[in-house]
Amino acid sequence: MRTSTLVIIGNGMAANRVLEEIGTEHAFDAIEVLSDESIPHYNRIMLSPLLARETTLADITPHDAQWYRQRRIHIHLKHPVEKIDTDGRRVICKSGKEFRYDALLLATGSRSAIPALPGTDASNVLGFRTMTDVDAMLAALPQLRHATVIGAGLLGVEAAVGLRAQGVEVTLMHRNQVLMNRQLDAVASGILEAELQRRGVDVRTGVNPLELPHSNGKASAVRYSRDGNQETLDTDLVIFATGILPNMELAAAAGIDCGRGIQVDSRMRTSVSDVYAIGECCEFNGSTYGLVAPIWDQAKVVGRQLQLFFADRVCVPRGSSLKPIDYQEREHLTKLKVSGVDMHSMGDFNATRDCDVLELQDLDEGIYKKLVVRNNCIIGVLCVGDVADSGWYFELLSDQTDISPIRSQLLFGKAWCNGAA
Amino acid sequence: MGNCIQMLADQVSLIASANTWIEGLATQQLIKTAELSGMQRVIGMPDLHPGRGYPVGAAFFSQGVLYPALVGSDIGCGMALWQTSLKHHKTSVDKLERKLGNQEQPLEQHWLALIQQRQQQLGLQATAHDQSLGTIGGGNHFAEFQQIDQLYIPAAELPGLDQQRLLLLVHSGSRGLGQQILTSHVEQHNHQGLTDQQPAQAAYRQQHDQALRWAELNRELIARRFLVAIGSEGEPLLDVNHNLVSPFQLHGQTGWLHRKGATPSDQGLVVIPGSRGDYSWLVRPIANPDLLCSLAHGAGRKWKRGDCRQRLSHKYSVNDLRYTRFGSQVICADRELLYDEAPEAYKPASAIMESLQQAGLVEPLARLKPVLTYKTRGECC
Repeated sequence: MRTSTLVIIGNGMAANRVLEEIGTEHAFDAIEVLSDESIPHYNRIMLSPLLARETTLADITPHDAQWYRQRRIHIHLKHPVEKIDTDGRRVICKSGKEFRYDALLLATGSRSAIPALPGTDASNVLGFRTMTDVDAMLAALPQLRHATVIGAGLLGVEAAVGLRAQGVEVTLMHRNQVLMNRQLDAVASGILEAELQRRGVDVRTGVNPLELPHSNGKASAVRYSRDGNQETLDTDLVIFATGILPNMELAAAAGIDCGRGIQVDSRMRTSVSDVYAIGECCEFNGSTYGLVAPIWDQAKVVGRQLQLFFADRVCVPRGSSLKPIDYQEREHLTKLKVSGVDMHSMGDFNATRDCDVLELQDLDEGIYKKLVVRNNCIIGVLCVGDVADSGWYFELLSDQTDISPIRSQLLFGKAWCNGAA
Repeated sequence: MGNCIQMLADQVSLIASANTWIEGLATQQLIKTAELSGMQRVIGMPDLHPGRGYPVGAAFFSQGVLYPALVGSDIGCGMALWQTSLKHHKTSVDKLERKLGNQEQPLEQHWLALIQQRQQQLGLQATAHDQSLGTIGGGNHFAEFQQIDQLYIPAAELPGLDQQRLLLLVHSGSRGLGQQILTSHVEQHNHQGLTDQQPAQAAYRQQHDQALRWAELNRELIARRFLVAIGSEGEPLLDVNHNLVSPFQLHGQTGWLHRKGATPSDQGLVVIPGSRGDYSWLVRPIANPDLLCSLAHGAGRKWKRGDCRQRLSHKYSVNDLRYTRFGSQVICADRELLYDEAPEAYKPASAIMESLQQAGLVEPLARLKPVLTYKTRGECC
């Protein structure tokens, strides 16, 4: 009798969450996980503290061998995939090894988007997504005088802070005037920039990188333009944190529908039957993903799909109430702690059309609260420094509560408003 | 020559049939440009419309002096036509749209080898704008998948063209590079021309030529990235600049021919595009030196940019404008731009073609209709 197999390509956050969701009672005889990394699954969100040496790899590796055994999961490390044969229902690894699948889950994640600039092809030019990147940074540390981080999104800021904590001189470059412009506005960015400068990070905004000149076969500087002038900064390590791109090439080559990412429906199904996709490699309704919260929702959907996988193939126990879950995008409260500063944001915090903006600033204390209100409902929230009420604002935003009764007190927080009521 | 060459003034002619509407301001600008020192002849095309100070859709021949401001900021703006390998009857427009994703991000690292190889072949130096290579830009730029709708000559006579497969038309230019070159000139010389004796003229021409090559490489990279996105092979068919200045001989006199939104008719087959919801034409030009060997470069705007939303929003919703009468789709997440690019904002391409044909300047080879037009996803980069 043939065994039933779930094959998962990828061993990151999304894949791991699905494995946690389906538990020990799943119906597959075996789950084969194909990873191109050389170490077991680790919590990728903790790469920044790892870089700052605030934690260890062991501490961020959640599961041991027994955990995988109990779930009939076989992890194949250093097994990058060569191609997917959807007709033959098999995955072929670069090593030549083949894995037949009954169900296939694509969790290939995303890669750092490094632009086509001269000089980017060098061993000391890195992204910041994997343990390999962090290993390279840590290995370079003893000789590292100066590092340049290009891109001040969340990852770039964390990389800069992590390296600075090791005593490295760090320059953080950003194209925009506003740092982390997807999560912050100009005021919040100012608070962050002040904190970064206090830690000794050299922040340069309005920068357009042009080229990485080489010396002795490695990148030795960053040449860039700023305010119409060209400047050159000597450096020993360059980290690109200029965006991410879904790893969809394997799927596209296999004839699976791709656009921005591997396209899925609300059950996380791709265009090929029994093939699913999840996480940063997927695209749902035109959206791709870079933060973790939506992926937890997706994992629930996939977990349920896999639980029901054999439902129409074998008899479902009478009275079974398991139904498929449909993935729905929803507003998430983005909670970040960067450079010691708490930053929570959600919704359309930059909206201005037909909006009122309620703001509380105590910049000396690094406190900034901003609520964007339209038609007496909160549509955007940004809290920096004092984030005690972000959860409450999130509820008010999600429920679209009419805040007119408490509008003038809102910024002082839930406790104040409840006391005043 | 036909009865549609109108003499507007001494040295100023307009190629337009009697029922082609040309805005008064555009004609004024055309006549005014003829007054520039050294200007010998000025020809307006059927798609003539007002620009910033100087009209768009015209050719200007001067002697002893050239005018960078006439060429404008988008040096090397032009059209490239590629043959794709996608059979159009097997392609759904929706599927094609979904495959395209966002094509406005800087090209990824793995393109660098090709870019550097092509830069070397074209004699292109690296510039501060190279991260824009492979990006379309704004305004009237676009990348459009098209289908041959009508052939006017036997298919066998059109080398490289496959009637069963989609074409890709790319309209873009030198982006920030051309802009920087003009700004630099204006800062130093205002809108003045540069005489043949001035070293600044040779310096400008050198930068201008670099911008032309950059624009050509840009169009090639745009085409290639679109082909990769849709999983198709492709071959370049033609590439023509319509914003440029070149050395030119008119009746034995040497001088400078400025083309501002004017397609050269002495460089082989060209495409005259319509608006985003109109036909385009593949034509064999008939070069006429008296008319400065130039043709219209498109349909010509009827309404100013920024004026269109208020004129059209009561009549058309955003959704109405995303789908054209051909069943083609327009990817344009910028509302203002979507209205600015509405077919109504442009003159009908058929009227432009009529004028060009009556003037004996083109032989139409094929009529092309739009299938999917990409302008912008409107996302921040």
